Amino acid sequence: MKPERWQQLDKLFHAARGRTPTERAAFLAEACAGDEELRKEVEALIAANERAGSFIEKPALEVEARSLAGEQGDAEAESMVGKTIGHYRLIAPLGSGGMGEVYLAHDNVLGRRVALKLLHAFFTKDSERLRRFEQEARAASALNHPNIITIHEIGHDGQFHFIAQEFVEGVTLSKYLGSKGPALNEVLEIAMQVASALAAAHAKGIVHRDVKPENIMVDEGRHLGRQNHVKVLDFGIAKLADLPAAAMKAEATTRLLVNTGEGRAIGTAAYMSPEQARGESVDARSDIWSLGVVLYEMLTGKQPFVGGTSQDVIASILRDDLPPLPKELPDNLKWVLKKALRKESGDRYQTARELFSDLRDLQGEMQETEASVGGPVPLTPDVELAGQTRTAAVREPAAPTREAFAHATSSAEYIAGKIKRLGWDAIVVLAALIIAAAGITFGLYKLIGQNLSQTSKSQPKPEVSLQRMKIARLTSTGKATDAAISPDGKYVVHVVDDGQQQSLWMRQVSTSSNVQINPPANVSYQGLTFSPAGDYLYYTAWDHKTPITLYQMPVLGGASRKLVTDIDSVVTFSPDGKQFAFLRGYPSRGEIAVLVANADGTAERRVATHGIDALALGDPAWSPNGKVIAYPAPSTDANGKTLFEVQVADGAVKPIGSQRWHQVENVTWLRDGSGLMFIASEGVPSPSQIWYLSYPGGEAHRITNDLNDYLSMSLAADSATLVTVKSEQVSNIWIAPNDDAGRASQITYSKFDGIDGISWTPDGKIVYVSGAGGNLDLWMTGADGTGQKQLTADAGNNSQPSVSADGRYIVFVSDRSGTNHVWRIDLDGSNARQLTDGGGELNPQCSPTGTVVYQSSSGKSNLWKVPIEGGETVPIIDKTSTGVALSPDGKWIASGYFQPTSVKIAIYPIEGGESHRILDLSGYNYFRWTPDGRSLAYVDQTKSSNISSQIIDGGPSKQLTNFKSDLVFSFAWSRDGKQLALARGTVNKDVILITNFMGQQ
Amino acid sequence: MTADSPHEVTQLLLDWSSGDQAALDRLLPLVDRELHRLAHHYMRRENPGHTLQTTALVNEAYLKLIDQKNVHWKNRAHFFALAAQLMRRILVDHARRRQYAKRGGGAHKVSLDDAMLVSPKRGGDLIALDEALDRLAAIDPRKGKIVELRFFGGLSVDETAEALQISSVTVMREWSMAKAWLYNSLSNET
Repeated sequence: MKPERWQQLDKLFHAARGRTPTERAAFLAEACAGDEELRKEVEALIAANERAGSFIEKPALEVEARSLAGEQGDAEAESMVGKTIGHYRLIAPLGSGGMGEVYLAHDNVLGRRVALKLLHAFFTKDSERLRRFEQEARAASALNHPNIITIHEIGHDGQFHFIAQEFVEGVTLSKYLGSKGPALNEVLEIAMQVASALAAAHAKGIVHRDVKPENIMVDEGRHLGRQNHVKVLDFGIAKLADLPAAAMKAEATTRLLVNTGEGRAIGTAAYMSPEQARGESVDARSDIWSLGVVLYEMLTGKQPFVGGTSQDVIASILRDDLPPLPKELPDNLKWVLKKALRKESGDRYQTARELFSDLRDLQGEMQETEASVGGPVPLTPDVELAGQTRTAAVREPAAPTREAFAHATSSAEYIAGKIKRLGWDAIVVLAALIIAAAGITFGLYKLIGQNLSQTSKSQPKPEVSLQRMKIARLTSTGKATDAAISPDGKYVVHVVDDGQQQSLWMRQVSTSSNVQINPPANVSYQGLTFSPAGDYLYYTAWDHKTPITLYQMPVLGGASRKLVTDIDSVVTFSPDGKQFAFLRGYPSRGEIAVLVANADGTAERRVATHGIDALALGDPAWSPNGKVIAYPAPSTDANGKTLFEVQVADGAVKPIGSQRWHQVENVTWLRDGSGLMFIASEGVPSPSQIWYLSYPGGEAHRITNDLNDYLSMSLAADSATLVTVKSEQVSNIWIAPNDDAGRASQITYSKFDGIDGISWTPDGKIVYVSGAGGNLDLWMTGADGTGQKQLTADAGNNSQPSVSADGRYIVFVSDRSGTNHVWRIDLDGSNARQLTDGGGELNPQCSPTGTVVYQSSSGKSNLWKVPIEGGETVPIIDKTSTGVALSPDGKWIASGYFQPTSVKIAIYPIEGGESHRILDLSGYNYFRWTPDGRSLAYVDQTKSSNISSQIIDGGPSKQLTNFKSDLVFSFAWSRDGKQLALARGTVNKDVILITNFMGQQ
Repeated sequence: MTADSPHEVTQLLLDWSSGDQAALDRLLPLVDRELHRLAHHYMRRENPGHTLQTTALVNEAYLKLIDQKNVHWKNRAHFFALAAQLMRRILVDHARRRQYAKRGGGAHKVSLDDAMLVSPKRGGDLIALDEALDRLAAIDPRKGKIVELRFFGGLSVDETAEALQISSVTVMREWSMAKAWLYNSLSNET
């Protein structure tokens, strides 16, 4: 090859690799115009790159040692031949699997050939594991189905534990596929027979858990259309075999596998369902996904979700859309594949029987077509479905547009989510109030101080049942921001935010029909609430200019009517539906009032008044007996929020229980008044989760327990159905040369890397935050993704790292003592030391001179400093500030400050005093100084896929990166300014419906 | 100190590089021993989940064979290159001997589910890779060197960058193309 051509190939390979498959085709068509050969070569390299997996990623020494081990194993297996175990005489080794060696053996009693599996010492050493294994294998052995391999005996002879099973003269499906690309008809037949086997097993309550081509035997010796053509192996034992499925229980474990990445793990990971990949419990629908992957592979010759390590594969399973299906596939088949491979198990085929029916119908249609043109007509297999009568599957209309939106998340939504997560929602709305009233606390708190400790402990246990909770996803656009369910549970209204504009949609739960009731407009919708009778929808809309307005809309159609101008919460109805309560802030008076009005908005009256503490009040909820209104408010000691109740009759206020949260929203009563449900987060870096609080006992229980944010919560009247918006963030670290972000490459693969800060060490390592272990913890990695090391563990949430100039310390925020404070550790994670002890500190940044600048939220938010070696904390800036970035020379601080309708960035001298410059960045998410110290780089709210920069001394802003998709969460330049590390990913927000969360229902 | 102390291996490598062929004969059994030690570990398979330990063992083996700590910093780059070259030669020879012994007899069985570790078609076969790597190096010497250092020499990205006096990002970039090319090249064989 000529050098010029090789260089061209090299260049195009990298350029094409950085593009999505769709963009790539167009790019290559253009770049290789006329040179078909070149295009093919680039495409072959791209394909190889995607398929190469762990190829040559392990050192040659290991590869050779493994080959040697394989040979020695062969020799060992050979030496077993001729021995008799039980009443089986070993004839020849057949192969080895995850559980042990398999031999062809002769059954001396029944005179037949069997496949005898000898279990590894791994199983037999641990008697408990062995017992469970045998129990599971016995359950599977009860399955009697033509497409399930028959287990003859489970037994042991001395030290040998074995399983004797039917010997099938065939090959594994993986081998079968390797040797030929099967015809469409054959693919359907194989898939149907596997589906049939799964249906039979599922009917007996046995989930396979490891459906993959290696576990499917194809009998080549027989003709198509005959029974027993396909046999599924190893039912239900995968989970006990310590295959990666079990090994990957925790994300942390998965991380270990990344670094070591066994080839076999990758092979198995490719067939894992998303829930399996997350280490969640699995049911029959997980097998359906795996079969979907097998079907995809049979049809296209490749797996839908691939990667270089098992972690890459898992990330792809969880994150990526199903790649486009080949055009030549029948539409109905594409539809079947998509339905089998929906990420949410609730959206998938619910039973293998349905999948089987659809495949059979498809095959029928194809036969009709072929028969009409005189083609071959294969026989229909006679497959029994485990005692079920066959029924044709009810075909839903295909909804191709749903997938199309799945990963498009707008920047505005992200910001909304971020603000919400940080508990700043009130700030935006009530910014003026907060500034005016900073530090002032008065009103009702004085009256209620003593009641805090008197929470009853004798309440019965709440009836919240997590085990039986059922979850269904109602939207998959990823763009929902708020949702509410009608009292009868039939309708769900939700807000769709496309990044610029918001629209309102009404969905009928039973038919999935979805109607736009308010077209996209430049407003923010919140507080969606149905009237108790279900005839009206109430919602608030904010045009970002005038005060927020409450509207009322007939559910069955009709124009919206303006009811209340200036409202600062959701509305909550009295039991008879004749009145509603809401909050309103009075900035000039420094007050927030709880008000009650008639259902048509008339006759407003105040029932309670609060002084405005920093984050003020939250959404009120009127009790079912009509006597009290519950709402969250800062606890009496101003340390977090508690739920309070106010008597409607006399305005008396008291707390419900003593549990504290950082933020509480969407408070809702259970129908019988026995408790409340709401969204709450326990601290700034903690996700917003769904909670339950018993009433009047005040015992708090968290219902959801994950790292996602839940953004809204609404209950149907029977309290048995809950609708919420779940926000899932996926973030990973990428690295790029400073001058060419187009060459960014991903270096971490957990879901939660870099979500709350990133910092470089002087020697070119990256310190970042990862949620992979359940809590937020600091990790360190080499710039190539190698040498990942966890720095903090078992100590609350740890985030916002900043490495000191000399590389000796990492300063960060930790809530290990209960409240967020600035802490310091050595670079290896040792010698943790607390540097601040205020009411809550954030965003520490190390200066080159050994000073740490941070933001404090106690009393009023402002900027402070403390020596990195420890010592006195000193206030610098006495202005409400948010976010901190120190200039590279340590002389200037950039920090955001609130204006009534926007946030600007001020540049202060590090000694304090007046601002040197004010930058109006028209909205930002995250900002840092550029390495030259002349500009501020930031993630633009409106273009949050990219980083822009603004010269401090003025001039137009400039876009620094050119990513086409995904969001940038944080970024940092290496000390030499040559490399840029970014945390990038997606945030998907969808409406989900949860049932069976209450034990008594 | 035993014969496989890092110091001695380093000395043998340096001797070999300065033309002492006998040094190679003394090195071979050391590599062989490491190979068997690792192989023994893989065979026991007592807990298939313990891959971390396995990797530690491989790293340890490399450290024993290629210990850069005892080399003066000016020689490091040169030493890395030499060591990788030598490991390549020894390991490919080892694979050849193995291949030869296999042809001489002994049926080999089919693995039911172990994914191929090296090439898609020829599992565990370093010989084909060695040949393909020669072809790659003929077109693009730097990519060939990077694969040799990382795959055969067991060097990290950073060490490879240091040995070649280029940035880590360049190493990663070149590696991805080299890996794709080699994979493609081996896939098209047989």
